Amino acid sequence: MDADSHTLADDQALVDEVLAGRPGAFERLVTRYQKLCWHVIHRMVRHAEDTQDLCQETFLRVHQYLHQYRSESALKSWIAQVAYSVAKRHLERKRIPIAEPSEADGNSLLEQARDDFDIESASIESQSAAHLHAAIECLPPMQRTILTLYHLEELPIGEISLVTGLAEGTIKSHLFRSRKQLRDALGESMGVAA
Amino acid sequence: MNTDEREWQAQELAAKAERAGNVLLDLDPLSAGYVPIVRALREPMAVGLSDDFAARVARLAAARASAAGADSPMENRMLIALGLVLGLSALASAIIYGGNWFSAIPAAFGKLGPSSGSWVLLLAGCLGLSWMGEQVRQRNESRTMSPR
Repeated sequence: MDADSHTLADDQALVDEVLAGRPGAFERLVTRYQKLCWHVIHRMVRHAEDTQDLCQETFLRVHQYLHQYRSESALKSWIAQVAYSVAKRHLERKRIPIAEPSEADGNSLLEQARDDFDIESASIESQSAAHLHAAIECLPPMQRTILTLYHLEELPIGEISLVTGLAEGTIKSHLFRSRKQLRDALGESMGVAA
Repeated sequence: MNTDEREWQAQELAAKAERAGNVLLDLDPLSAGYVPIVRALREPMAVGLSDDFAARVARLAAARASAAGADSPMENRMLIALGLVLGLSALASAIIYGGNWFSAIPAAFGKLGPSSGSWVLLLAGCLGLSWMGEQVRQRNESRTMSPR
């Protein structure tokens, strides 16, 4: 069973077990949500060792503040919120901007992606796929994370709004513009490959 | 429906098709253009956590919780005991020497010059600033430690 298929009742039961100090309960919680935590943090910071440390920090914080969890929202969203907050603070400490760059920067996704990719050694299809992945990596941290929460974690826009603290309209706007940018980058890369 | 709204619907249709296992085969060209994007975004990411990550974090969390739990009651008990000792000492001193102090206060004020009032105000200002600084520090600390 993965993190997606747990109901609010399952979540609350697990939280109650952890708060009651039942042996193995917190380990089960970590096992259930570590993938989600990795997805959120790695999409934000893009550095494996930092992500490992920040995942640990996230779960220690979850353990410390679990008594504050109210089952009005899914535990998945609450943990994603803690992970997002930990990763955001990490980027702020390193003075890395998390939101969208200027329009001029945003238009150069393909150019940024090209720098990381050896066009000569790949087929046209794999070139497109690789350019697309490179273009995703070139998006700003917040946009990458919103796309991941929506498409990979399948969180509804309302839950993403809770996780990030952004208005639902802002989430929609980020989704729309990021996907459009990626489609343009893909179109350009296919033009280059052809 | 304006251009952006149509494009948003196309993006969402492509996402829906991918989530459903691409069963909606008759996608319009605009939606179909977004399918590779959505597919790439849904590709599983490699998770670089060790196999014993959950066990290790659970042990660490338990150790921290028990350390915090062990320290706090002890510290609290010591603080209460210290407060009681100080309170009793102050009470005993007031009972023994209180009469002399009260009679000496008017004489002491009489000896102070006119500038003494500003020194008292300065002292009060310093104490007030220190107290406010501590309040701000505690507020920032609690904000940093909370989940958001």
